[in-house]
Amino acid sequence: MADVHDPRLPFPTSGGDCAATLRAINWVAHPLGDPLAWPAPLKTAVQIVLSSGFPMMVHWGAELFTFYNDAYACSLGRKHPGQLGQPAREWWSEMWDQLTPIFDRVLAGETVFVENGRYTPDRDGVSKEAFFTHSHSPLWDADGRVAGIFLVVTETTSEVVAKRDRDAATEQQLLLNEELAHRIKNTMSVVQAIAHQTLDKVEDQEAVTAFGKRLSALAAANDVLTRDQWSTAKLGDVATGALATFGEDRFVLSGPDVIIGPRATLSLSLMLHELATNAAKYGALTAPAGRVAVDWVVRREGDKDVLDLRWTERGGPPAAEPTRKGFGSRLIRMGLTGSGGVELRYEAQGLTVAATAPLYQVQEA
Amino acid sequence: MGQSEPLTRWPVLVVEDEPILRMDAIGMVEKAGFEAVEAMSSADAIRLLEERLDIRLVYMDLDMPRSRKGIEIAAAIRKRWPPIEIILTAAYFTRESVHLPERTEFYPKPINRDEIVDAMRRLVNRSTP
Repeated sequence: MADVHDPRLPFPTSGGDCAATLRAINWVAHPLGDPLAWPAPLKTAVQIVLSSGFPMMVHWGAELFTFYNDAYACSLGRKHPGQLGQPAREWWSEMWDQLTPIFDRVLAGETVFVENGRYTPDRDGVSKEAFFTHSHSPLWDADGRVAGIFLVVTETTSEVVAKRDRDAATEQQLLLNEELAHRIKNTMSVVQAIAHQTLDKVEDQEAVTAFGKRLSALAAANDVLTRDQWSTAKLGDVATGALATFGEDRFVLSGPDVIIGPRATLSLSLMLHELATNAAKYGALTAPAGRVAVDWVVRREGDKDVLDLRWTERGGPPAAEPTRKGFGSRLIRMGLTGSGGVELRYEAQGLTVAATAPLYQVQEA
Repeated sequence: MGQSEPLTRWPVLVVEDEPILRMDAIGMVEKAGFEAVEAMSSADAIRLLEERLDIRLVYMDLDMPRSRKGIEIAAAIRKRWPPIEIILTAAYFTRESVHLPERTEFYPKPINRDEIVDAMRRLVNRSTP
């Protein structure tokens, strides 16, 4: 192993092109003098820098004479190699205002770590925006006084720019999705208006009204889905959205945070809408004191998770099975995923509906 | 619900720039027993409110892109004609995202007609001496 302090060896002993450049400098005319006579801490630090594969730099002495390595040199453009061994102020003239506060803190004994700091270095005559993650730490002389600055730096410009582009694209997509969601709702409104106008003379106006309300339930499901880019929704939010127009104080919702997919969001919204419509026509919501509890749990069954959702009407008249089973009944029986798993019990205290589905089905797209 | 229909056909101003939606809203308002006064823009609405001092209620779409922000117009109406009741609708807002002027009600699109008609009757009855 080469001893960097061995006076018989040239200094620096190794360290690529930058080391060669340093060896070629006429140090006699330089304030630091002959490298072989440099203070040991400076020699050690410079040798560490020159041997490292990471971009590193040392500033030493009151003038902050600057040393860097080959890994650093490639990001310096035409500044390299002319400034090797020169004072930092000349070296970083274009960024001096930005660097002085950092240097002052480090010379006071502090370590300054900056992640993705923005700088505008001069690169081949042009000032360019660039980002660096860097650590400036003190270098001590043999007496323990801060005598220089040790810098490890990684240029992160490409990562920062890529992230910025990605964020801008995401933002743009969010805006587009939102715009699209609004347009869909507006289109639903127009569909509803056309239906009303087209079916104006139809005798069964109740059916026309039911259509309008189902469309609103669909829109409410869309609203909830829009919050998370139409990918998922919280079950509690879906239930709240579907039941909002029936009077929030009539429902007691309880269950864990469960994320469900867009398909389940749609079928659950329509199902709850039909149940609430029926409750308002024949069930618990016909009585002033009538309430509906909606609760859900996730439980383990064999090797898979299963979602159980229960609709319990209380405080209204006894529940009676409807004689006519129309589209509304079919919507209810479609259940959480559109494929059933629903049990209705018409009891004296009121209607109870239990809907069950494997959790993965409820959560898939 | 015959007994809850107003005896006087109080005028209701419908502000909606989308023709089909305006047509539909006018139908809804008339069916509910009110007189429909139609405005195609917010400027139109302000002009009509200046002329028709008997208008008790404004039903307005907030989504009109070619005019000033709907919510600002609603606030201006609330300030200039405090007794007038205001019902707002929009596809571009939800109940949570819209900051309503005092004493205004909001219903998201697509609207539930029954809900709007109930609100209209309730508000007009409240403001009728």
